[in-house]
Amino acid sequence: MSDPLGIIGVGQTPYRKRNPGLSAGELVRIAVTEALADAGVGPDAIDCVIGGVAPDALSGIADIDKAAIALPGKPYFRINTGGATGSSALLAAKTWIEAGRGDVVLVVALERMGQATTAQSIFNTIFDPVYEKDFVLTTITMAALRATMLMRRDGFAGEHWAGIAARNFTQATLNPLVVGAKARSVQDVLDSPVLAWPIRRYEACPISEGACAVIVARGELARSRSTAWIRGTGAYSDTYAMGDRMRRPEGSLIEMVPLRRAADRAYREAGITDPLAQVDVLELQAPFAIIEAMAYPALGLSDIDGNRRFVEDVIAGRVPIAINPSGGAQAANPVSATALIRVAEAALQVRGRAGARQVPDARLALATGQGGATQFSTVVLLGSELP
Amino acid sequence: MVLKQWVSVDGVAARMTRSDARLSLPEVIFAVVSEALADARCTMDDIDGIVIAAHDLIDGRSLSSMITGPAAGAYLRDEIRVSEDGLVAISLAAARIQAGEAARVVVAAWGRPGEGDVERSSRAAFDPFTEQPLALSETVVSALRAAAYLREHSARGREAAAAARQERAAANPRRAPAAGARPPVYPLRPEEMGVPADVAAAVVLGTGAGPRITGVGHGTEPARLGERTLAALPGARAAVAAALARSGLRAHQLDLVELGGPTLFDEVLQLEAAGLAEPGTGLAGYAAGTWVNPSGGAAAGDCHPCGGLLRFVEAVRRRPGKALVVAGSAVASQTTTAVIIEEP
Repeated sequence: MSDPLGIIGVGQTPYRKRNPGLSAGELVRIAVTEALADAGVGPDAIDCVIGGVAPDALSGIADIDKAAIALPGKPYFRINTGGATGSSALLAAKTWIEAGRGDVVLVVALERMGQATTAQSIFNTIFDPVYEKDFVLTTITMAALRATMLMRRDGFAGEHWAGIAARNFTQATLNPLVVGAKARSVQDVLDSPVLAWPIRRYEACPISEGACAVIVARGELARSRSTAWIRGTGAYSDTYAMGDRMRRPEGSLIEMVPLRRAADRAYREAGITDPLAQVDVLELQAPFAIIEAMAYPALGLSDIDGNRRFVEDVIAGRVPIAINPSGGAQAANPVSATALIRVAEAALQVRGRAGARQVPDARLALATGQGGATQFSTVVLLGSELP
Repeated sequence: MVLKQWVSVDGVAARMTRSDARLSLPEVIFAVVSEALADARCTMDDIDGIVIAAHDLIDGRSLSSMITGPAAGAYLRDEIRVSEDGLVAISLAAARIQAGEAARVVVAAWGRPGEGDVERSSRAAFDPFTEQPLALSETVVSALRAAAYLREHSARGREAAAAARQERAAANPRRAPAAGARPPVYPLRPEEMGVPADVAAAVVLGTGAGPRITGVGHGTEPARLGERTLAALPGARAAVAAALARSGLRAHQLDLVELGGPTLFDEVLQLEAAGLAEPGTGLAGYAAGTWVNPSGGAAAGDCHPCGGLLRFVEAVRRRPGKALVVAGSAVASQTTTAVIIEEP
């Protein structure tokens, strides 16, 4: 990169199940006002606005972003890559600036899924209407299929998923943005009802609404501020069909091939050769523990065949990396915004502004985005120092 | 601002049908993207990334790019999707090449109004409390624009413009079957409407010897219709001005314009916004200017969110010296994109 760019401002609403007292525009206003104040710039400094809203059906209105996010007089467009929408929008902002289209881009992601009658009935409509819809494929059952595959292949058990979930929910109590966060033990998770075996209620992400905004800039504006520098990025897409991913030379369903490729690209750009030793903080877009467990080898933190032992080390606190200090997507998962929240939290960490959830001496943080049927993957590496 | 890297149009393809049940949507997308690759004399191995313009509500499925993305080539590649008109995807894909992120990018957009109720789908984008009870739709907004235009200016040239538009569409060998033309809403007339078609279009952008994208611009208006000026398109004016400024061209130097509006009046408003006709003279200008929508515009076939990419493909196929493509996006042209194409 000839002129480094980074995140100079972050704004987030609290994340809660529903916001009956706030319109979509009011949620966006809260996040954007905070991001502008954090960056120390006004709306006039913004060259372009990029919105992130995923399935329209979740909010019950098509193009909800047009009235809530678009800023008259500024170029505006909306990204939709499912759960990866927020991070894809951030990557579009990076593209915009590096193409010379502008110097400052405001990225805003909004989720109003509390408006849906039931989120899982909406998620059922992302699957094939003829072949899959009737046997109730949802994001929960989709994750359950991967969990059982790992249990059979590598001997994972419910305690592993519960261990990951308990850590995320407990860490979320340090994050004031996760409304109603409660510390949970492994036994709490194991005692919670089964949603779709082996996934239990306290292992699945809750329904969450909220908005997140970040401001990306380059040049003097970035150099003169507390900036989370973009050190490396990657984005890859995979086939939708799960059956097609079972046995193929590129890697099976549980290997998260697009995430691995995205990470490899980001590491190359950032000069990372040993991520476990070099990355200080992970913010993973993993709404279920199984998705987080699958991400470890894809991110080069463990070997696929030794991943169960690595997961046990993670649960026991024996790895030199902070994972989801915010509580991650398991604690709050506003679908359209969740991947941008991961980026925002990573930015707060390397800027030293994460409050009670701050990881000491965090200098390099990695955020992932995950959308579709573990199909769209992004990786963003942020550093405290100029690349 | 000078573009960091020029971008070429290496290949184009488009298909327009009406309720063709023989092929699934992914099959149509795969076929059209394959045609664009063949036109660019390359294969998917040469492609670094995919930029898609698609809308869940039009596709009839939440997060529809899960199934349609791979058909467009998004298999173990960088892929991003805009829920906007296809011309926005052209802009973002060109930016990817300008940024040095990719050398060759596929842009694809599609829509199948033949499988659904277009008016009902477009109604879902309006506010459920203050706008939907009025039965607003894209067509109703176009009718409101037409009424505002006729009230503010005059109907001079109206019949001639509609006739010229129909003649240009009839002369387009790639036009959609006209049987499915949208029913008009007063004061719009049948010959001023667009013809909804099942459309898939694909473009391969690169840094080759083909026509070059030399300017891109975007404009945004307020969301609520009450805050907009219906007899003009200030968002389109800003988009075209930005695109022309980046290309270093002036409007009078253009050899061809392809305007992506759903009705004659939307196209005329874009023509005036581009500075190619004075306010109130757009209808006459449309009739006299054979370089205005030589494809016939929406009368030859139209489909949200594919209209802009379809107009882009038509412009490239006519090998213009200097062309302008303009297209509005949801909701009711709240945002507009303009692209300048020049022969090298």
